[in-house]
Amino acid sequence: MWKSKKLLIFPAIYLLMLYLPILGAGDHVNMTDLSFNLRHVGLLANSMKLALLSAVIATALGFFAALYIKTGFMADKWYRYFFILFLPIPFYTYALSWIYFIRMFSIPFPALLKYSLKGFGACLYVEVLEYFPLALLLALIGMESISASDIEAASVYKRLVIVVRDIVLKEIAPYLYAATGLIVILSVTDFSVPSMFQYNTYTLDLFSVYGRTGNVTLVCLKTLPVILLMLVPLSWLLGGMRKFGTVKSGRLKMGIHLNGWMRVVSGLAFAVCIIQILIPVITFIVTTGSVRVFADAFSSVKEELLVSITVSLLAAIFGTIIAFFPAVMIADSDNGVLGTVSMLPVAIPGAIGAMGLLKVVNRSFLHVLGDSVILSAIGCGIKIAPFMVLIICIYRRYTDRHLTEIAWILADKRKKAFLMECRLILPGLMIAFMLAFFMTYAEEGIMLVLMAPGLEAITVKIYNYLHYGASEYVSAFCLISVGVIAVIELTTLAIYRLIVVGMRK
Amino acid sequence: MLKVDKISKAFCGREIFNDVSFTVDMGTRIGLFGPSGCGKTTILRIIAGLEKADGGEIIIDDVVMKDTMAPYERNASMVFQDPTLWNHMKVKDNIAYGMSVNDREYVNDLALRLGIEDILDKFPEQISGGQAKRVALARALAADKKYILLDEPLSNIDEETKVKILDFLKNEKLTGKGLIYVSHSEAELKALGCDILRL
Repeated sequence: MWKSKKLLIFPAIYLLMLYLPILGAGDHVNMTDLSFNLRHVGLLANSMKLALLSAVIATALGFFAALYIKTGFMADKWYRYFFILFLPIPFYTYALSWIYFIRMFSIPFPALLKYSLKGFGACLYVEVLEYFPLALLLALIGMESISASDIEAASVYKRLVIVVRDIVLKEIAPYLYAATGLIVILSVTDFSVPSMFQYNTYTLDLFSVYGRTGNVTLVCLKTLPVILLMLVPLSWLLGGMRKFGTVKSGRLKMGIHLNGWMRVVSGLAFAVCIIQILIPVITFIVTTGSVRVFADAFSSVKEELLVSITVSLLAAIFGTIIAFFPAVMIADSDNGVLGTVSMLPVAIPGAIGAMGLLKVVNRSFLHVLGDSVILSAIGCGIKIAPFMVLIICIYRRYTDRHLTEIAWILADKRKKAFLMECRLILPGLMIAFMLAFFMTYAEEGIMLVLMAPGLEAITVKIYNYLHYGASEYVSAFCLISVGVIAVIELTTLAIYRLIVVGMRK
Repeated sequence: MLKVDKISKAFCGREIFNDVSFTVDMGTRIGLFGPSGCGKTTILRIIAGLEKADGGEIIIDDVVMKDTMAPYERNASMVFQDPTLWNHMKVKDNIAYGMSVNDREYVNDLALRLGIEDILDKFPEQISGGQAKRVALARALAADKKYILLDEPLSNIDEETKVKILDFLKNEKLTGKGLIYVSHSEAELKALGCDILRL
């Protein structure tokens, strides 16, 4: 898009939408409430320990699994991306599957019951599985940007380990940095998994502060240490993104054959690909128990499904509208300031931002929005917009710059060149749209705070049933959610192939 | 008339070129010649509006080009060193992109003269590198622009295709158009009858 100062209005709107709920709440804050003591340091350390370990393990697994896929028979098949199917699965789905999995095995093996389902280990397991598809996705995209002949040329002179270290790993390092940075950010700002497994983190503590005081401004100010810490993974993420290359021509299959320990490790990482899909599905099928329960659950959840899908769709549309221009501007600029400012609000838990939005809206004529699903959609859109910026930005950097430049040279009207730009990043827009859709579908806190009276999202229904102790219905709801997500993913893939790939045939 | 007036450019404090001036009239050909890294491509990018000059001006048809003017407002088309075709569009749609009215007859005629008439209904992924170069050239010529900027259009192609493109460019009348041709090869510029500017 051509550099016009008028376009600066779009990032301004984006930043306003992002920061208004935080700054506009206008609650009075006593300075004494802002104290930061040793307990807080400990909580921050807990958050970072969990986030860093999850990020490092998930990224390493993602790298080796991608290596296995890109050197095997799936390297050039469309279904090589099948293993990211569970990327949009809500955090608690993995957490619940872990709980039910242990419970199931404790029947034949009662000794298992002594292993408590709480604490750091359980959180780590769930987070690694939760974030693993994300790392796999970025590693796969990274590996597709390496020319097969580069690898083959190196393998003429050096042995496999050196080729993987010097060519593959170095070429996809920016993608791995980005994956690590993103996972650290997502992990530190999540409270659902730590709360489920009773592991104290800083973000969890922020909720207790909000529960005690109801003060949005105070909680936002208390996120400052998290925001400062987030600058490090943000710099990995944005720094990595700036070095993303464009797709190089060549074969999709890497010209190397894995052997020795590398084959074993890659095979194990690939096994995790299978496990992270099979364990939740199997445990939910077993725990649901009967077709009757499943049918009952399905008929009782239709309305909630409709609400979740509607809000997700609206949030994705809203998010795309506000994220598009800032994303393109960040991608085209080498200045990291806009990128950093655009991403910082991800450190604030969604539900707290939603409380702020509710306060701002209730003070204005916009309060009527609260009577429909629109306010929930706006709240989710605001929370998810930075991630959409990220995806669009990555794709924009991934697109050959000359293709957009030549459109701007040859076009006779601004609109024509702009449409060509949109067309060139259409796959990125579609991915960002779907990410927003699924993240909204999985959202619980914002839905709880902003949902119109009389309506309920599926995530909130699962949360309520979980507290009633109706585990067979919870499992059935999770299974239905997984099914809905799979159907929507496959439909999107079909539409994508129809629009993007089919056009070439 | 396109006038390049005392433009200069530096990258990371290192001066690439300084006070470069030349003019291109309708129907004339200017050849920019020089070693790698002397700024030939950068000059074309500055004329096209893709980069800013550190000093000097670009004047097209008596209008000074401001930095804020978008490339499509500059009345110049361009061929990059790589063909840069849009893969989602057929060859004929790539060629017609810069035309305000899609004149199929003109596209067919241009394709015939460049020897790419058989691939008009194909997608860029289905054609060879030499054919892609000719498509990029056809796209620049078909565009409703007065000035054509060619950045080493004969690099990385086989001899046969080189000869075909050179013959085409030699015989092309360029009525109402001006051409700036960047090349490493002085012989190529002489063969095209360009006024050569050494950088």
